[in-house]
Order: sequence, then C-alpha cells, then structure tokens
Amino acid sequence: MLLEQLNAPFEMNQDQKQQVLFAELLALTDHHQAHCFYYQNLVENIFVQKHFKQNEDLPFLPAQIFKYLPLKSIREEEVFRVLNSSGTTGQQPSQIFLDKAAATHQAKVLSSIVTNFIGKKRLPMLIVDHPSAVKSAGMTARAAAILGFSSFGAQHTYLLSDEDLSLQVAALQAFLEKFPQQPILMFGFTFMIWAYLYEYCQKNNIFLDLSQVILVHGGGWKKLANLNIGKETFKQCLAAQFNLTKVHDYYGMVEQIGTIFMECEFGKMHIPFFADVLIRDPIHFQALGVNQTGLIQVLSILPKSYPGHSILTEDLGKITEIDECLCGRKGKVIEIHGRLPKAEARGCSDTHQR
Amino acid sequence: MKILLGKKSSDWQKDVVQLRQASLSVSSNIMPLAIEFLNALSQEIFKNPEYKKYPDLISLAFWLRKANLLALVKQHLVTSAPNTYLRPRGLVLHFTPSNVDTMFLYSWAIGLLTGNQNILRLSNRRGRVAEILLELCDYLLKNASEYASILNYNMFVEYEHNEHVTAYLSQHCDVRVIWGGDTSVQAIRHVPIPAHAVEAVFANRFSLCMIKADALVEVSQQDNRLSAIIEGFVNDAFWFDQQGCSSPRAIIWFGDEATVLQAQNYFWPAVRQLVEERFPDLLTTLSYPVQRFTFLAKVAAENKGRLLGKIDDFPLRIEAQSLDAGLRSEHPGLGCFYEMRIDSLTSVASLLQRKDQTLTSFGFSQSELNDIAMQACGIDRIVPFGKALAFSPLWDGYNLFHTMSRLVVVES
Amino acid sequence: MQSHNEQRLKEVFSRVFSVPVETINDDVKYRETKNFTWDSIMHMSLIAEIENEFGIMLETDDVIDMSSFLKAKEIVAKYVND
Repeated sequence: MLLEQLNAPFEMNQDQKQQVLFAELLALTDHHQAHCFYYQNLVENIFVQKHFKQNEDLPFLPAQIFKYLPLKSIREEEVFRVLNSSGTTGQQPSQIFLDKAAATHQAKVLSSIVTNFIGKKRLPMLIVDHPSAVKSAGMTARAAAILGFSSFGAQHTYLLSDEDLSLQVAALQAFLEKFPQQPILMFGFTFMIWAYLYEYCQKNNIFLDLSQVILVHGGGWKKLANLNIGKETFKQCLAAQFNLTKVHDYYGMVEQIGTIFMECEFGKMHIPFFADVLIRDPIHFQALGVNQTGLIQVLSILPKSYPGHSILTEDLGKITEIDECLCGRKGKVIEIHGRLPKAEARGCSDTHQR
Repeated sequence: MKILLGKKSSDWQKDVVQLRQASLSVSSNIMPLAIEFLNALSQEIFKNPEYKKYPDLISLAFWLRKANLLALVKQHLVTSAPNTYLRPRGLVLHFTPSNVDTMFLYSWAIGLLTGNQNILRLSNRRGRVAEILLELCDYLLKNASEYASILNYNMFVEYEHNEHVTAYLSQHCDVRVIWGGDTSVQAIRHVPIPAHAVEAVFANRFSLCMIKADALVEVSQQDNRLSAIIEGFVNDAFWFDQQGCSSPRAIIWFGDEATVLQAQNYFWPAVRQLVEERFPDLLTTLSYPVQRFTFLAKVAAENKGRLLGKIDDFPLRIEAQSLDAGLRSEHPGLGCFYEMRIDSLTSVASLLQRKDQTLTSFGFSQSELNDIAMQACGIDRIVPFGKALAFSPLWDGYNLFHTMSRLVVVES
Repeated sequence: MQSHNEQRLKEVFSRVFSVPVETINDDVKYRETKNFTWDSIMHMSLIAEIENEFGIMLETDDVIDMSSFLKAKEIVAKYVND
C-alpha cells in the first residue's frame, strides 16, 4: 500500500486516509508491544483501555521519552543508524534507532514529499551552513536533515565558512553565474537563513538576485520568535532583499524522521498521506477540532524500528483546513505555533546555578 | 561582586578581611542585640498589611518573634555536660538557595544568635520576598542606631558563579554552610576551606508522607477535622510546586486494601479541591501536564509504577511497588505522587533510605513513629501534617546552633 | 481576666482583623469567623500582636490552644497580672 502511494503523497482525502492509517497504526501498536519491552510496559501501565476504535484512542508517547530511554523494536545487531537530536544545550539528546529497512524507507518517503513540491529533477543545490556541520561525530538531527535534503540536489555548495560562519559571497556569485536562469535549490535552517544570509547581506550591502532559487527551510521559529520575527516578516524580507519568493517552510522532528510537513505555494503546511496530526488540549489531552489550538500529536506509519508512530510533541499548533487547499493537496493543513512555554522551576533548587 | 548589605569600600577583598577582624570582644552582648534586631524585623513585617499575602514571610516573622528566639536559644545554646560552653566559631559563610526566598534569613538568624560573623551569598535569581527582606534589613540597620554595629560583622553579597570569589571567601571562613542542590554542593565543596573550618551541606533530598487509612476514614466523618488535615497536606506538598526538599512526593498508605481505597476516595478529591483554590497555577500552567505525563511515561516504561486514575488527573497518581534511587531522583514535583500500600511498620522502616529527609505522618502514635525512626537507616524528621516546610534549626540531621558553635570544655 | 484587659484584647483582635471592636466576642473562633478570615497566617499576626500589646511571650502550647477569643482571654490571663 505504502509504496504504491509514494508518487502521490497528497491525493487521498482525509476520510479515506483515516481508515487506512488507523489499521496500520493499530498494527504498529501491536508490533511495538511485541518487540519493545519499554513500549509494552508503557502501554500496559498507562493506557489501560485496550479497545482502540480510532486514531485518537491509540496510545501516544511524550516526545521527551526518547531522551531518557533507548526505545527500539529491533535487536541490537540490527541497528543500522542511531539519530541524535541536538536538543537544548545541557539536555540529553533523543536517540532514534533505525535498521536498514527503516533508513531506506525514510529516505524514499522524504523524497516523495519533497519532490512533490520542488519537482523530480535534481537541481543545483546551495546549503546555507558550513561544510563541517555534517562531519561531526555521531549523527545529529542537523546533519541528518542536510544530508537527507542533499539527495534532491546536485553540485552541492556550502555557503558558510567553517571558521566563523561568514557568507562566502564570491562562491555564491560564482554558483549563480554558473547556473543562470534555471531553478536552484537552497536548503538551510530558518534561523541560519535569517542571520547568516539575510542579515549578513543586508548589513554589508550585498545585493543578490535569488529569484531563481527555491528555498526549503526548517528547524523551528523559536530563535526568530525571540527576535519578534514572524513568518510573514521573514518572507517579506527575503522577497525585498533577494527577490526570493519561492519559500517552503517545513516541520519535522528527529523522532519521526522522513515524515515532514511542508508548505505549499499558498503558504499552507500539508500532511502527507502516511502521517496524520491530532491536536490535543494541553491540560486534559482530549482531541480538539479544526481551528482549536493545542499540543500537536504526530502519527505516522513509518516508524517500525522504534515505537515512534504516535508521539505527543511539546509544540503548539492547530489544524486550519481539511482537503480544501487551493493547491489541490488533500488532507489536513496545519499551522505551527512553536514550543509550549516552559515555566520556571522552583523549590530548593541550586544555589549556584547560572 | 556586589555588596548588598554591609560595610563597603572600593575593595571588597579588604572589606572581607576587615569583617573577619571585627572585634567581637563584647560578644556577650551580641546575642541580646541579635534578638532585639530580629524581633524588630519581625515587627516590621507584621506591621505592613501588604505582606499578609506572603505566607512564607509571615511564617518567618512569626519565627523571628522574641518569644520564639529566646525559647530556641534556651533550648539549643546550652549543653548538658558539666563545665562545657558553646561559643561562636568565627566567620560563617552561607551559600543560600535561590528559590526559597526566606531561607537566607533563617540561616543568618542562627549565625547571628550564635554570635558569629557572617557573610551570605544571595542568589541573583531571588524573588520578591527576598527583596522585601533585604530592604527591611537595610532600613533597620541604617536607621536604628542601636543595630548599626551589626553591619561591622555581617555582609550580604551577590555574584555570578565565580570560583575565584568563592575561593577567596572560603579561605577566610570558619564554617561554611551550603544550602541546597547536589550540583551546588559539589561545585562549592571542591573549593577548599581552612583546615580547621567545618562545613554543613544540604544536598537534594526526598520526602514522603504516611497515612493510617482507618484514622483518615474516621476523621472523614467530621468535616472540619478532615479539612484541617487536607490543608496541612496541601501546604506541605504544593508550596514551591512540590519541588521543595521537604514536600512529600510519595504516600505510604497503611492499612488493608479496602480501607486504603476508602481513605483515598476521601483524600484525593478534597486535596484537588483545595489545590484549585490555593495553588491554581499547578492546574492551569500549560506546560505542566505534559511534563507530568513524560515523567509517568518513563516510570511506566521501566515498569516501576502504573497509573492510578487517568493521565490528566490532578494530582497524577502512580502506584509503585518500591522506591528505588531512580524514582527518588527523577520525580519532577508539579503534583505527582507515588503511592504504595503497606501493612506493617517494619516495612515502612525498611523503605526509608539515607536520601530521605522528612516523613509527614497522620494517624500514628509517638511510639509507633519512634519505632520507625529507630529501625530506619534514613529519615531526618518525622512531623505531623502541615509541618513539612516549617523551618527548624534541627535540619537534615544537623543542629545548626551547634554546627555554628565551638564546644568549649573548662575544668579547673 | 479584668474587663480592662478584655477590652485591650478585643482591640488587638480588631486591629489584626481590621474589623470593628464590637464584632469581637466569645463566639469568635479560629476558622469559623464570618466577616473576616482567621486562618493560620492571620493567627501568626494575632499572636505577635498579643505578645506586643501585653509584653508577654506565649508558650508554644498556648499558641496552638488559642482557638477562640474566649480561649485567648483565658490564656492571656495566665501571663498578665493586674
């Protein structure tokens, strides 16, 4: 079922999709209970009700659990790759275990989503990062994203220097001259695009025409939100400075690598057919309806090597429409509002904390 | 490095040396002066109706009453052995906690009452109540001439984590007191103090609560008695979002299954109702439920406990079979409880570990509690409901009056 | 207790709870007051004010036992001789 649909990740309407997904997700819940000891305990000790009728009845895990426990449904010797989230500094990173099949699957699925937005042809590619970002020991989420997206491009050129992350203007200009009047793929983290490309050019009066560029960016808005820069400002600034208008934000997490939600040409973020999103009330966790803001729960039929098929994130968002986007893509459209605000810790805490 | 209170010149290191050399030769008068000063502080607090909204401040003021201080001194600054006397050790260096705003003043008060010189490092993350206290101390010491001399031998400082400053202060102290947090204790402890100096440290601790089920069922028939008990428990558990070391995080129910169930059914709804009234933030803060759920998920995944009730219940209740070190250290506060049922006092005693500090209890006799204390290898205080957070100079196994004093033997 | 001291004690209650002195009578009980709050926080203020007014120092047991105005009169009488 999965592979047949890979060429058309946004064709199935929500009703149809929900039924197909539920059967698969239910099977995965059984699969992980049978193969992951921690998951089995967790379901038995928390989700006492065994009768699951729809997606919202299925057990879900808190996203942070992957930081604390090595959850996997494969044997040690089958582990092919371990992904680590960067996480907040000082915190333990999440650990995601993939076997060979999962790794291949994830790559294929990612490809089916991304090519749906940027086309199948591999484009010359600019990466707004420094080359050694992908060379550090262990697989970070950042490296995984860069490498994952790199397969959609060719002639990869990193735009930032290893020394001080300064923009390599000459290299960028040479690249643009080499590929005139044809689409170019540009990839980077939202904050890095802002700080190291946009702000750098703006401050140093560097004028570039990037109208041929298709920008794919992700990684969250937290840092920009702190600077009071929203999605609209971001887009307007890029358009004004570079004439760069083809911009696709995406939302994804290391816990569900492969499944990303990507912004279409109408600025709507779409959920592919093999995944779904539920919005839950942050206090009581009951599922909410369209246009109600709450915690984002991501469901995906991909995670088979680790029990990540149903995860309650700490991100807030809402579903804004279903099957209605003008771009023709079916399924839910989601708006991401960023991380749940954390309350300050109290109590006999440390005298000497910074 | 900033001197918040005390004599200051342009050179803080000189100020420290000067403080250390301050003549305390008239030290026999120091204690009465300290009592007068602390009592004056107490009155200033009670005088201002604005302060009634800070129960921790009012509790401190109550503790600082002359009547209480005299009683404490009478009880603790005496020795039972003949011809022995308690005298000040010298300079006490206090590292005070960041988020329990009144703690620095309790620590200082004992330093003053024992006749020592004191330097207090205050956290720069201190809250409103600590600021009020600082303002009041500053006002009294500068405007009432009878207390001015206190400034000669006491100093409050504030500085960002800095090992050089800590080392300088430490090399001049005779007693070092480190309040709160394993990380702080370890960070400061490796900075040396003089060979003769002593140290009192307050590490992370775990606290529990023990309820005799049939006694609770009995009082549940009487409305006002149950509500007094619930109030005590709610104050014990939910101040500081249940993150205070003395706040109970586990509940040991004592009795047979049916009675315990009955007691729980009286207990939890009443607790929830009062928390809604007193500590609504615990129920409405958006990030807390998912934090509680994450904690539950971890405990459940390791099969150390199972959910009682529903995942969005407040408090979040987890039935545990035993309490290992992991369960003790991972508990996030925020309204989560481990619960277990036990039907013999010996099993209570064997459950308690060295990390355990306070056991609040309801329904047990003094002799039953004595037995537990004698059999257990941990637990520093067993107190009734409502008393978990009450400050006492007997804390974490120390008598702070004695920690800050030399025991002098005089035989002719 | 002399009625003079009873009047002083009434005035202490009236000051602490910010209510007219006429509202203070033997029926005023801890946690059972109607038009004002006598809870554990106010109790601490009350004790401090009584000690100040009469220049006395109450023992812990008496602090706990003082559960009504009536009781307060009895306790204060133990400390105050006039």
